[in-house]
Amino acid sequence: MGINESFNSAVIELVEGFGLSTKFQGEEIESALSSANQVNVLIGLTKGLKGNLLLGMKKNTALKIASAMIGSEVLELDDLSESAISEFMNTLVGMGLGNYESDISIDFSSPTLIIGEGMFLMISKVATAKLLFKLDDEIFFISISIEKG
Amino acid sequence: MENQRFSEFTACFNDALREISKDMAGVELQTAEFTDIAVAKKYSVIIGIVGEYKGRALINFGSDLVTKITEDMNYGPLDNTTDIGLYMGEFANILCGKAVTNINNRYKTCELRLTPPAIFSGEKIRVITPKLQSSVFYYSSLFGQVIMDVGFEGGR
Repeated sequence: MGINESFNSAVIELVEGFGLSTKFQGEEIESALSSANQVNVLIGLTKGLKGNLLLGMKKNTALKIASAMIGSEVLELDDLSESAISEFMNTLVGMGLGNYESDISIDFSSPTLIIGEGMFLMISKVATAKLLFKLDDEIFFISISIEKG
Repeated sequence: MENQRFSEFTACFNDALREISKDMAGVELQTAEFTDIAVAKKYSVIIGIVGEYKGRALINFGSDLVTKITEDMNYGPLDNTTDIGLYMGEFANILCGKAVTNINNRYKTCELRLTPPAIFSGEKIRVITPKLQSSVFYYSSLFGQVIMDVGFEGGR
């Protein structure tokens, strides 16, 4: 599997593993990795592949995912739910890279959660594949930004 | 990670930030008391650290200091936010690169590497890295403040 396909199936497998339903909405190619979402989780890649992966979503979607992971309804983002969302991304990246058919060894950083309003998050000017998914009526995405060479 | 090693690692980042700020932008950083950056706009850069120990460096700069650093790097003013962000990402990459090179030279098995920088700005932003223990360094300068938060998993 290629990298985008690997993450596409990892997202669906992981979300459905927590008893939620999601649907792939399509892929967009952007000239830079950026986000203006309320909840963002960033993981950097290094060694065989250098780049960044970003999970972006609205607060509502983050609460739904955290609730499914914790097993009880979460109404606000607190330490436990923030940790759950970070772990969601950590697992997602592990699964995505596991699906990726390649001989190269890839190392990834700890997840960093960035939460805020009116945020401008500009990660790199590298061409980025943005995989869009729908959870209930809300879109969330994972952006894959790999530096060339 | 033992306390001593954690302290040595974070000290390398502290030294690198001071040295690179002086060498690249002529900015002398002084240690300051705990404070938040008291300007409306600030820029933050996150760089992941991977290797024997995982961690991250988060560096927050006030906007006047960002202007000073980017103008010195560019030999002139920059007029758009994207370029300013990219220059600050590169500045942080250079200083973190210096810090991990020093760490790797001292501890041969560490093999620390950096992930590409992520730059952001905004209001009321919270940055959380679970499982991470970190040290926060506060600095002041003639051009404004810097706050650097360096942490490693299982640190301290």
